[in-house]
Amino acid sequence: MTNTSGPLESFRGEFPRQPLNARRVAGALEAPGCQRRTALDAAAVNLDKLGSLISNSPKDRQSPFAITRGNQFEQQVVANGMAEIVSLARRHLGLLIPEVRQHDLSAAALREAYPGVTGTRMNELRERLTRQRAEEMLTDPAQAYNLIRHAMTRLDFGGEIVYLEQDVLAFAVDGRIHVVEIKSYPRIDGRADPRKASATVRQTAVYVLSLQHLMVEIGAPPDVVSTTTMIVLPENLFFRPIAVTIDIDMYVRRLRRQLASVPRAAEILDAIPVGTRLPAHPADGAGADELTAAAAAAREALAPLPPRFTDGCVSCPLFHHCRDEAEFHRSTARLGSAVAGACGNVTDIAAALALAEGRRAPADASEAAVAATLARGAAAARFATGGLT
Amino acid sequence: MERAQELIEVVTALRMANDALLVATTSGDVAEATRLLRDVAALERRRNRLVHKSNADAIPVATSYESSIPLRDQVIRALQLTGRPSSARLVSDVTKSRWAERVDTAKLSYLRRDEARSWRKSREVAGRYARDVYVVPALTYDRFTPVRGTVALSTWPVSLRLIAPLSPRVDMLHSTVALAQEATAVAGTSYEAPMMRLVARLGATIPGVKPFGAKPELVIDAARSELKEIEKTDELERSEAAERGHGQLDAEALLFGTQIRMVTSSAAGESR
Repeated sequence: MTNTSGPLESFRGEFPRQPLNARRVAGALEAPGCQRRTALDAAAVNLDKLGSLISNSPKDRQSPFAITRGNQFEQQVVANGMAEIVSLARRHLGLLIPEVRQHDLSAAALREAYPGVTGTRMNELRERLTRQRAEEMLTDPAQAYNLIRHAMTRLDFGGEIVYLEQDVLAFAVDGRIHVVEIKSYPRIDGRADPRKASATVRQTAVYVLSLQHLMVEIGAPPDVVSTTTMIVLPENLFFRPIAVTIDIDMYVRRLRRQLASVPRAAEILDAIPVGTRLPAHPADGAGADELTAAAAAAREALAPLPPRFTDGCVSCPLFHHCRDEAEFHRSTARLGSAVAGACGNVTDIAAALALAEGRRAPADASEAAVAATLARGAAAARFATGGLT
Repeated sequence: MERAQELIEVVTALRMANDALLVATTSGDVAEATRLLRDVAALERRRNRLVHKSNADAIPVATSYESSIPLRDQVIRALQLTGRPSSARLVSDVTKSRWAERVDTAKLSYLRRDEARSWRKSREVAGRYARDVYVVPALTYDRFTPVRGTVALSTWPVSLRLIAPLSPRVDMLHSTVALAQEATAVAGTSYEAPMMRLVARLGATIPGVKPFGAKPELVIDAARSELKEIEKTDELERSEAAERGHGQLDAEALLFGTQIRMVTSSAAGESR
């Protein structure tokens, strides 16, 4: 399954591996242009473990109650022949009354039919069955399935094969394939938590993109897969599902561009000193000394990989480390993307302050422009604080 | 007769004690009130004992916490009500609404295994008692493998126990109709309200039914008109599959399903 190129493999060394999933691929969108994250993703490094090792704090895990709630909601929505999905898809995706042919490709369902198939072989099996079902949709739409539960597709992420599991695929005979995603955060008075909603949109974009690749592979136009997706959420404080449809075309295109730049991960690693590699992760119950040593070694291995610290970094497991690093280097990125953008190529806080106060002469035209902006800001700040005293 | 006489005496004494208690409480005689309260409690216990003795054959009402009815019987009863292959979830919902009992759905897979073993035993040992009905898994229509978490009864025709692409929806609609009829039948009992809720919840996904508090008759009409559009195709697919199954499978596989063994990683192989 892995055909990870040499430098990526050797960089990860003995550190635990973690297969990529849709969320992590979507994370590539949250941290655009971060070479550190790209390289670590392409090398399939277990980011959670790395993050908790170097910041010496156990990772904040999702609450078991939240996970249970999510599972309960999903089970309720797909219960009784996907009754809720059927009714929502009829209303929002235009499925006709007879279009309720359904199929379950989840691992648990296939285990009944194929006992003993596990792990990667199960993923391969599910991916192959999904492909067959998709082919049926193109050759004999009237006999094809309209609702496929837990379909599985794959995506090439810098040479690493990522298996992706869609909640539900909906297919209309005269229409196209839609991705349906079930989430358990509520939509209250017509609004969902914008951060969670945007994470969902990015995650769904990964599914859409992988399905489009699948269509190309079986010789169909990629636009058979609609970029209009249906997100199913609980309404207000009830557990009653409602759906919103959203066109995520922009995110899919952004993700495609992003993925096209992933193969450069190997080049990033080529540029760092030979022999740089992550340490082996200490075993459970390892002593404090061992942990500290491993954390120091990991920090050293990360140092040559340039990060790009932005507002989107909060969800990254390495957030604390990169933030401390930005603070240590007195980088303008520490002050947020807006400030870093305003400061242009002046990345050092001390230099920016010097320019603002006129203690330092701009070195070139772009610095002069930044200096003018900062000087105006400094004057405004002086005026504002002076007005108070 | 003697018991009836005793009951009348006890109830009369109870009434008098209650009246005296009322007087004692209003006049503020605490000691007397306490004594009378004890008397009333003793008399009430006696009365209850006498009443229970006279209806010894009445079935005690099962609480929702502990049920004396075996899981197997609960499942069979629920399936006889829904009339179609049902998910573990539906079985548990129906049992809760119609009989106010809990079903431990996690035990359903053990039940399925036990049923298969029992059936095999009854075949091996000649003259051994075979059960009238077995709880069996519903089977997929193309490969006759068990469908996860869906149970059926062995007495149903094979075509009904096979799940074709449209079957989950068709079965859900049929079950909803059956449950709506049952809800009307139990009208006036304490089971009416939970049954109505269950029917309204299932019915809400059928076109033409209001999302809350739909009447059973409306749900039945709506379900039937949706069935009209999809049932024919489903019946055809199921009966074709059943014919194929009768030709290919032995009695055991027809009831409990087959398993696909992977010969190589790329070819799904023969069925057992």
